[in-house]
Amino acid sequence: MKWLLIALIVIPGTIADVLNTMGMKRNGEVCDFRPRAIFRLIASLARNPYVGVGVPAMAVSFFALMALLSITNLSFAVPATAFSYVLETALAKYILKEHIGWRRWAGASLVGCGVLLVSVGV
Amino acid sequence: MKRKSDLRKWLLMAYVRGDSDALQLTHEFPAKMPGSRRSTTILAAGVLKNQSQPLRLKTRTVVALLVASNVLGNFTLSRGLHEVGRLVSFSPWPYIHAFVNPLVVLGVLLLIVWLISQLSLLSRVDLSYVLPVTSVSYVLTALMGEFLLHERVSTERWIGIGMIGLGVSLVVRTVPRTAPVLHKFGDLPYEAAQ
Repeated sequence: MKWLLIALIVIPGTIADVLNTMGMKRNGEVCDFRPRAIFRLIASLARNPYVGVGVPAMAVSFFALMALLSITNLSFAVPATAFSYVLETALAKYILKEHIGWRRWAGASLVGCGVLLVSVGV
Repeated sequence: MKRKSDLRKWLLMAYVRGDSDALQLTHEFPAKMPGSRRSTTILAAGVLKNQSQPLRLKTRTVVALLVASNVLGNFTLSRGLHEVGRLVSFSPWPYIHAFVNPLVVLGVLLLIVWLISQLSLLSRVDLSYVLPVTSVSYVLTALMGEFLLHERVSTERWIGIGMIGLGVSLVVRTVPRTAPVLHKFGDLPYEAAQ
């Protein structure tokens, strides 16, 4: 059960981040944060196929995390997600064509290790 | 009303031809349009200005909003769910039942703020920039445990906090956006003009 939940956190979470990035880059830059503009943004995102798959995938990942946290503690749940920092950086390079220099690689790896230590050392 | 839409068209034309973000005009110019005077233009410009003032937020402000809503949202939601109890089920009823708890509702509202700020951040900058930078939320959660809940923060945790801080400071020094600009649903990427 635990491992099924971890798979349900990591895989949909990664897919969600990549799809949301693709969708939002196509939707254009969000510059206006007035309530009305936010509602207009939500309305336009409802018709965006990438975000339409990405946000439900995010929800699956989120509820799986909630379920996992209700049966285990944080130090078991979070290390599994720490790995996704490096994985998603690699996906950003090859799928999203982002330019990733040594600073980003080093930063993502340090953050991944840091998240691991913060959650294990409770 | 008609005058206003005329002025709009005229200004749009001036904007397109001027090839610049700022309109380099005095109020006199549009006033030379047939049937309008300078005072009309000033009035109309005032109306347009009031209507189209977007609330712009800097990328760092959105990051701060994202981190704050993430930390507070997770905190209130986990408190609320703790009150609700065990939550592993494939039936939707336990989840719906959890929504009666006010802490859960507050947590969900904060996570909606988090979702919107996350999406708007991704519309501006790279995923490989957003992910490490927003991991500051782990540091804040740990510090909140130390200072608000008086949990003892172990040595491993302090080392982890230091590593996250170092990682974030490295990523912050990169160009936030390197991904190619895309046409809307056209699938025709072209290189970002830097």
